[in-house]
Amino acid sequence: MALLKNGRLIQDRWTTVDTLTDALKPGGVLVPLDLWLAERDTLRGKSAVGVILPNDADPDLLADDDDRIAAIVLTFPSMVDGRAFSQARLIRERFGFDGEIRARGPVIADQYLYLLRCGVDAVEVPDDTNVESWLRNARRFSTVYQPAADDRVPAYRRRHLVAASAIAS
Amino acid sequence: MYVYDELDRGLVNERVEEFRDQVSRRISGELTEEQFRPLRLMNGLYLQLHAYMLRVAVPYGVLSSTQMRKLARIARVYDRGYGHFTTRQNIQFNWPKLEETPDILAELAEVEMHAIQTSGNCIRNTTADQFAGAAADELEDPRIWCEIIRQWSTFHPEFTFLPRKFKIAVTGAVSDRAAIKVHDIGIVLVQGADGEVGFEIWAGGGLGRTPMIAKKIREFLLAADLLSYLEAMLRVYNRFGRRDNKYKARIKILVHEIGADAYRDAVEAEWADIRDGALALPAQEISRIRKAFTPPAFEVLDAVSTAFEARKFEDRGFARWVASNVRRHKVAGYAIANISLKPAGGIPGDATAEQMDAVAEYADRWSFGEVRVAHEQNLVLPHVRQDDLYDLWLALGSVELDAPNIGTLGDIIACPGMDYCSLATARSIPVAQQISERFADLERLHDIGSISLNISGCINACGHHHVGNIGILGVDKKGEEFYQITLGGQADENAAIGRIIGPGFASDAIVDAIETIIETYLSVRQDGESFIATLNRLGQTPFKEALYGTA
Repeated sequence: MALLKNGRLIQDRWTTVDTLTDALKPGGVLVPLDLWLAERDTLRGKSAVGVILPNDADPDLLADDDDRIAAIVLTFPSMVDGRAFSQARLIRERFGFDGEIRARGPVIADQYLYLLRCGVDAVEVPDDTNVESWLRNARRFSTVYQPAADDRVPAYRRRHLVAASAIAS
Repeated sequence: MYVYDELDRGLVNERVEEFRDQVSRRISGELTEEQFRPLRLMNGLYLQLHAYMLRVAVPYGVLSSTQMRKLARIARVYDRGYGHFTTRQNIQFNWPKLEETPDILAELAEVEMHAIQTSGNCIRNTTADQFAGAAADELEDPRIWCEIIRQWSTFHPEFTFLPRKFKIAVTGAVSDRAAIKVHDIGIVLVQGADGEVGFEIWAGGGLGRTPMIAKKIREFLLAADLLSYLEAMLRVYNRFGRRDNKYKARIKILVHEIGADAYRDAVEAEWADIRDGALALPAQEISRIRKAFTPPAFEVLDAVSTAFEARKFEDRGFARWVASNVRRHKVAGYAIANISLKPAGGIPGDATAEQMDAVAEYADRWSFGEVRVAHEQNLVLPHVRQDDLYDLWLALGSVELDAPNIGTLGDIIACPGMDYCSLATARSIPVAQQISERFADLERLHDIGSISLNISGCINACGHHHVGNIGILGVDKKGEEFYQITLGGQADENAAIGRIIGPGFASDAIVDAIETIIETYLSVRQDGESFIATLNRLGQTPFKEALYGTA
């Protein structure tokens, strides 16, 4: 798998591990939530650690650790199981997490805009992914109708900003 | 009516291109059918028994004459010359070709229409009282709030892959014509202590396998808080709604399983965090949308038109049509004219391209260019001068749209059933046709009076059988169609789920059974008593005895 991040396909430098022993080896590791909760004091010293959050877990479990975690992996068991969209927004908007939020699972290019808008900034994709297809979808819509975790201004505010600035100029 | 600004227009055009891209990626094989399925559904494209079906959104049931003409053109050019109006106030085309659907969407975009979120596990077309802006018993036009919800729910990044479909209905009137209590979220416009318009919020209603009446979640919500509250409601549902079983995935099951109080607590807690954020509706935007629904330039007329009264006196057929199809308008001298899409023996909700063009013409001539779609699968001209009703009636007769049966036994709601639908277990349309033929006699129909009869061809209840005064559910019993009857359902402000009266009837016995129920009602009713009032007074016993004999 490769990682789609910041508009580019990059090599994923993180390793997913299941045990504490593996987690303490050098390099960036992604650990299951249970392991993190059981061993957080040991793992806290490690600079490059990410946590894999099941999509039915409460993101609150990570609220106090967000400065110790470099990445949070959200899971999509299928492309139509959308629970992680809510998790992403809570992590980004409510906790103000500024590390990597990555999507893991069979999501497709047509969902990229929604992922980005909810605060996901990295997606695990097959190595032969057509990046252009993903980027095209991310750029497709010039208007959004609702606020989300990105900085796009929803139409119901933008309309009046435009009007106000037109009057000012 | 709401008119798109450049932002709205841009978005819908971009959507056409997106869908064109998706269809071509499907045809090339880049997208698998499994990947394409949720995408096409979110654009209203179903794969039915015989062909693709395209469901076009008619936001809160409002159409301009220009839009109606476009629907007629689509029926003519891309379909077989007709369309089917649905219980969600939308229109379905039954025979489009996959590769032509992007062109259909492009044509729709020209008249500010689309097929966005008419299916899929997302927020569907928000429905409203079909008499919005015309009803005499209205606090405020619900379309203002429907349009605000339409925009907020369009491509909502968080709520596009919900556990299941999600339906919102809004009413601004005392009489609930939008069936808000059988919706995932029902919104009633109410007046606050200081006279300001706000909302009463209901949740967890629905039909399907497990019919439920919604629970009241909040007594009063300020207008500016509408979107933040909806977002909190949806977020709780998206996170905690069941996904292990699609028949238990609607919000009604969540609300039922954890209880309305627990659901409310979760929503209120979530809401507290987002209420003052970017979702608070700016007053300028509310007033911009409100302006879009400014009433048309009504003339100042007498409350009673002598010409109209004289016509009713002279022409019995006209008087009968007025009695069943015309409703009181809030402006003196005007009336609401319902156009029945239920001719005796016809397919409920179907209209030909010629009929659509004719309705568009009549709307231009007599109703400020406005048409509505009712969830009962009829059309409405909302603003007709009483003086014009006679000419309208004659004109409707020339295109076979003058059936005088709104709110009567002829006004049957029916799902497409096994004639079209891949989920159905029995046919609905032929049953509706046979019943409407059996009761085609207008004297008798009007004598029976106000009643609702709804038919679904399977347990998913698209024909709303649970909330028909008489409900018919078609089931498959060892390869034969059987029809189960429920009595006592209501979709209005006294919403109730009908109860099964007894064993089902074979397809050759169902119409007789309905007739037995009606004859029983006629024999036991008191003066001026409707079917539902008689049933509520006497219970099911007399009907049961008539159908099955005394035990």
